[in-house]
Amino acid sequence: MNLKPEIEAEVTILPPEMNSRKGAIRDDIVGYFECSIELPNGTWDCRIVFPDANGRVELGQTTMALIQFLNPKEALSCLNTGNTFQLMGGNGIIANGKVAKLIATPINPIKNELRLEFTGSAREYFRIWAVNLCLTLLTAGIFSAWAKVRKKRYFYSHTILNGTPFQYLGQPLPILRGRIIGVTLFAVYYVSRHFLTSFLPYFLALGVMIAPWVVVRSASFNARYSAFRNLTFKFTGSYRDTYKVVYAWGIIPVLIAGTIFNWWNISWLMSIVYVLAALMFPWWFNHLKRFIVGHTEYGGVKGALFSTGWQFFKIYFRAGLLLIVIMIFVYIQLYQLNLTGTSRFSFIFLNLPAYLGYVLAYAYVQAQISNVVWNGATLWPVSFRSTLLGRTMAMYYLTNALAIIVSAGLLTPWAVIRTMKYRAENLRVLMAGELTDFSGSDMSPVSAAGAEIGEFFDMDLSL
Amino acid sequence: MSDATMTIEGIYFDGRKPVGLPILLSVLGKEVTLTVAGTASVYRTSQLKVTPRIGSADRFISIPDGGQVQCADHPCLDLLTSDSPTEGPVAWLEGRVWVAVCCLLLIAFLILTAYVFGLPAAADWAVRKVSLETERSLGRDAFAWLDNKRWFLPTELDETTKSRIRTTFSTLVRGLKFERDYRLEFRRSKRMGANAVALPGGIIVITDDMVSLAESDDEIAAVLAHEIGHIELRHAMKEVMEGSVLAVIAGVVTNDASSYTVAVAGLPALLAETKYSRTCESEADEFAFQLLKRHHISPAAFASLMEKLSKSDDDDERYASFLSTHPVTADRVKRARQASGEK
Repeated sequence: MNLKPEIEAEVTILPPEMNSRKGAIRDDIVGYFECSIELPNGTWDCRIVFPDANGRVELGQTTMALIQFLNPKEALSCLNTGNTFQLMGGNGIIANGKVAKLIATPINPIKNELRLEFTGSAREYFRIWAVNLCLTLLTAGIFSAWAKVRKKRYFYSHTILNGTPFQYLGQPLPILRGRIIGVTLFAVYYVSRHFLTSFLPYFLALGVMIAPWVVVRSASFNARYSAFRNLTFKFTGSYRDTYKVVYAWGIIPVLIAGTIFNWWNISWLMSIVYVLAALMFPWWFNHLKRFIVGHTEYGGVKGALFSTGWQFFKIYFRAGLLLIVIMIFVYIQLYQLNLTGTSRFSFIFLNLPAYLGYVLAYAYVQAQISNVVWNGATLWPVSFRSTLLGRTMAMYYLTNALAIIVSAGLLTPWAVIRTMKYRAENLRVLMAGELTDFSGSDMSPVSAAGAEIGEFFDMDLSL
Repeated sequence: MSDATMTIEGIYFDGRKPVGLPILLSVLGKEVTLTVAGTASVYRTSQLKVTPRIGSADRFISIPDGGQVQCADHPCLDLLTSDSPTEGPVAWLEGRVWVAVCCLLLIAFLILTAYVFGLPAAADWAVRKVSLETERSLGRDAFAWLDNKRWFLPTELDETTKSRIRTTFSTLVRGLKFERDYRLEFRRSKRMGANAVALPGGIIVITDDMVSLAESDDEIAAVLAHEIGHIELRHAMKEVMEGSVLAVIAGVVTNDASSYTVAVAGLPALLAETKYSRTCESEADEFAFQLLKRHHISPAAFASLMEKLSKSDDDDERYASFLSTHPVTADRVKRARQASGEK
């Protein structure tokens, strides 16, 4: 894994009449695109990212952009602040640019590879878990807000990077307030699902309306109340942009509304719609992840996620393939059973490979998505390396399940802690600079001490 | 606390750069002296806010200037103002092994009590609160859905058979609590095989396969009586109620387990539900036996049909599904035979 140094530059995308990449560039560019950069020492592949305004740029106007190099060493060695360059794409020039700032020193080896340590112990967490569970049951759920804070606090304070633990700043009362709202909404949903079925579509439509709001609020809450070394994280996504990302320009609400109100009663049409939605999902997911990481800040530094929908598609495709293979296997066995007419006991043994396959597919998706997201994320000059393995995760899940069943639940804390340890062990933090590169950005020192004065409406809506 | 000075070493973060400096905290009475890089500043204990104790982790002290001190846990940190006062007692409880043991015993007691007494009683109470109209509309919706999704196909029975079964049915329901709500429907179903279903609100559906499997009208009456039992005892609503409460409790209890395993979370709820639905089945059986006897039909008909179902299950897949929801046990057959014996 190599770091991805980038330069910040003023870039002018040429208007369509002068642009040689006609058709490829639409009136507005969202996110990033790949092209090459012409420099005195050669032509290099690069990726141009527009971090502001959700990546929307007007053609012909000068916009700040980040240029990221795929082979940084050579490419960056002849660039300096003030240099001009041209971006090539298709078969000619697509944009002119001027280097505003080298975000990383051009040749920037990784100075430090830091391990993330998880120092929680099953013995200690067992006591917290027992108290949380008992008081939650005794108080009919009210204590669950405290339980959540204690649990998060425990996990954060025992996750140590470079000698300093992370800090969870959430307070029980705002979380309780959020939970009451969440539970009320859930109760309305449950009643309408079981008793007032005619009301359900309208309730779901309402849910569709407020979902992006929930995304923004919970991302802000999680960021604002997580801190490291007395600097909090921050989420800067706006509602408008979230609506656009979550709803993929209105396609998803139409799909949902169509399903709710039974617009496509023709079954083949519905199948096509579902297949299309499923195929679209990895790209939509990629958009959402990039949006969230790209709007998360720490110490005045904005995060960026370099991932593609294709990467996510491959993960889901392989997992789907695995499930299909296992299903075929089970069906063949079932068919043979029917022919020979063996007893019902062999039927149970068929469920075992199906369950194992499901666990493996699930663990694979979990591990690989974590890897793609962490490996593609940068918080310059910090980047990450995640090395989770699907089959190892599956082993953890299976042994956890077994231990929990055999111990009637008593080994749950042990299972939690060992899984956390495995996850932490497989995440490295790569430093290309010093931590001093993060400044409270003089303009906006967001200190952890002031975080409690959070806005009244900062609620956690997770159930 | 004594007046002796206590000194704690820590790391100071100014809130502007994520870089730490060594710091010394000296607590003397109500005064705290902080020494960073040779400079000392004095605060009152009430001005410094400390994060609650959690496990053996380091704690953080917020200083009015926006800075923060990270230091190992120390008893004298409790002299400072707490950042989250309500968590103090919780932290105290978490620190003690005997508390954890008591908690576990209490949890086991609570779950067992709720499972054996609390939940069925609460469900009974809740069912009485739900209006019959709600239940009826629920049943109608479910029936329309089953028809729509082609779980049910139009029946192929001839009119004579149908009217004969209808007569049996109306004799059985005469004088019952929900007499006016009962409706008998005939359907053919490939997916459900030989089956009979009681939907909430009084709709009872019997499949063609079931009619052809039963050799006598008494056997059909036995199946119908069993389904009537489900309706008369309002089992559908009860199961919905119990299911919802169970889902919530199981969600709370397995909250942690679910994210670190796969498919374990549903297990306790599933086991409990199976037990509750088995209780419902035997209640409906008891009801059916009484009802049959009142109409001078021997419960033995029920036993013989059950045996036929379990036998046909081995060689014909069509009959398997009634059994998956209505498990045949030697016990059930035996009870039916007993009921027919006693007069």
